[in-house]
Amino acid sequence: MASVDVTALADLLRRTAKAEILPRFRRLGSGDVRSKSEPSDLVTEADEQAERMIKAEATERWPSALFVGEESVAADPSLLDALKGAELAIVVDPIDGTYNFAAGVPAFGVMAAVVSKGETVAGIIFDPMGDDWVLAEKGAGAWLKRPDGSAERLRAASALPLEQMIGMASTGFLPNGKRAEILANLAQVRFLANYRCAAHEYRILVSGYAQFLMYNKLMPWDHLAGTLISQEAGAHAARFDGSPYLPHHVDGGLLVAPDREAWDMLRRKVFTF
Amino acid sequence: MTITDEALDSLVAIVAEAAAAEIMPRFRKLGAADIAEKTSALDLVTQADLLTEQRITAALKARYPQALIVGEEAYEADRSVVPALATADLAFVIDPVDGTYNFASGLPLFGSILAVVANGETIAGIVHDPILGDTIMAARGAGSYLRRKDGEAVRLRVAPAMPLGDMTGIMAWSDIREPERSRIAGNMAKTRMMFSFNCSAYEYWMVTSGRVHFIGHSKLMPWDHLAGVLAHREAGGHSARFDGSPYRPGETAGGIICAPDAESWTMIRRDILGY
Repeated sequence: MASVDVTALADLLRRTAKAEILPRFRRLGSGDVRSKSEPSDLVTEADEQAERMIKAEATERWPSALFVGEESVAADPSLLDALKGAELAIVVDPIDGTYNFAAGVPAFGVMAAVVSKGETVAGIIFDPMGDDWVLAEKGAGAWLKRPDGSAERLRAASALPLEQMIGMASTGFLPNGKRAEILANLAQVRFLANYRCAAHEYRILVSGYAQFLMYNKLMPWDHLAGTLISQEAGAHAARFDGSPYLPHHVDGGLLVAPDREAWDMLRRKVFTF
Repeated sequence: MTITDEALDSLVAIVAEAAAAEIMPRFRKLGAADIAEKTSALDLVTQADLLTEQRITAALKARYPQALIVGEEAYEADRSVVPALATADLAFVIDPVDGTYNFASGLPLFGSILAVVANGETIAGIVHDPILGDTIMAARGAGSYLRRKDGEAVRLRVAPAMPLGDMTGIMAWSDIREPERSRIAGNMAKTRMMFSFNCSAYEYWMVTSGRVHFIGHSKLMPWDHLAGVLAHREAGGHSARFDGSPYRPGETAGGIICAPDAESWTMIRRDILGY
């Protein structure tokens, strides 16, 4: 069976960040940023060039893998459907956290997931600022890896009472009536962070510094890698109806919690859809 | 009293040198023994906080032996230093690592902050990014600038006022009690988009650069706010405590909202805080 070498893919993300992303950070003239669908959804030259570099190398090295990138899908939405039936696919977000990137805020990341027969088998999140990865291969745990070869196993936090929990929830895509209700419910927790960057939110969760994550809009490049890494770090992840989150899902919500019991409690007391 | 360009440059250099020496070598390399909780899992202190503050304090003392120096960590030992800010001839207020929770968790959103206070007024503010070495700097009456490590600089402007539904914002409610807490949290649904960075340095960075429209906080420890509030004002913004009075060095209560202008400030107080 065809497969993708995760170490080689991780290295490609890092080289791309150095070549195409970092040199453009805090150097953006107003002409380099344009709106994709709305003002907050910025796409930059860095985004497009980074995806181009990753796609060129990935398709040459792994020609049997379907390449699905955020920018490629913007140009050809049928790629998303093709993901469902693909024998092997590589799903890439060249810059996750584009709003931050464009604002000069260094919370952004480069992500890739490997999907085999409808299931995520590897996830990689590279942080260009700290120059390291968190990554996981299915069944082999979640790891922080550095370019010098050193690695540390990552573990998600244990459950805490609701009022002591720290978490992140992306409420921007909720329907209007529900948004205020969920935000008010979230006042029950100790602290609600929102870094507008799934890459770093997953990293915080698997470093054990936060207890939960919630997303409503599920584009695969934003969540496949992070969900697998969270599960491999011991967390419980599921859609709002309790079913597993799979590569072809784009809705139905996603809630990640320390364990099944905490997941049920958050679903009941906070995420009251 | 105003500050000379030369003095401001030398203060930026002091902060940048200390951050490079004491913070960056420890980023993502802290062991469990290097991190301690102060009041909660959100309120942390690390070896980087303590050593950076010591280093900046020593450099300031050598240059300004008469000045009052107020550091977030030194405050734990002597709490009288904060009220003394209201009357000191010259004082420096240091937040060695602002966003310690982020720093400890490995998130690259933290900063080093320095405010200069003279006779009860903030006269200069520095918000430094230790990772890239860039700095937001403001001097009273002279505007706010982002200066890159290589010297390239750009003047900063706050965002224009807009209807609340088109605004992005931050309102920190973690130190607010019920019933205000859930009311304010729910009211953020009226905005276009919300952030919560758990880091004053980057919240002021964004609001001063016009990347979010407003930010609000209930707890006013001076090292978190004095420098950023000056930078925001020098970028054209309007700020005041929740009751409308100006925020001054030495005060720690009463909350603050930073908004594009006075009119939108009033709207945010009404529609987000609810009074």
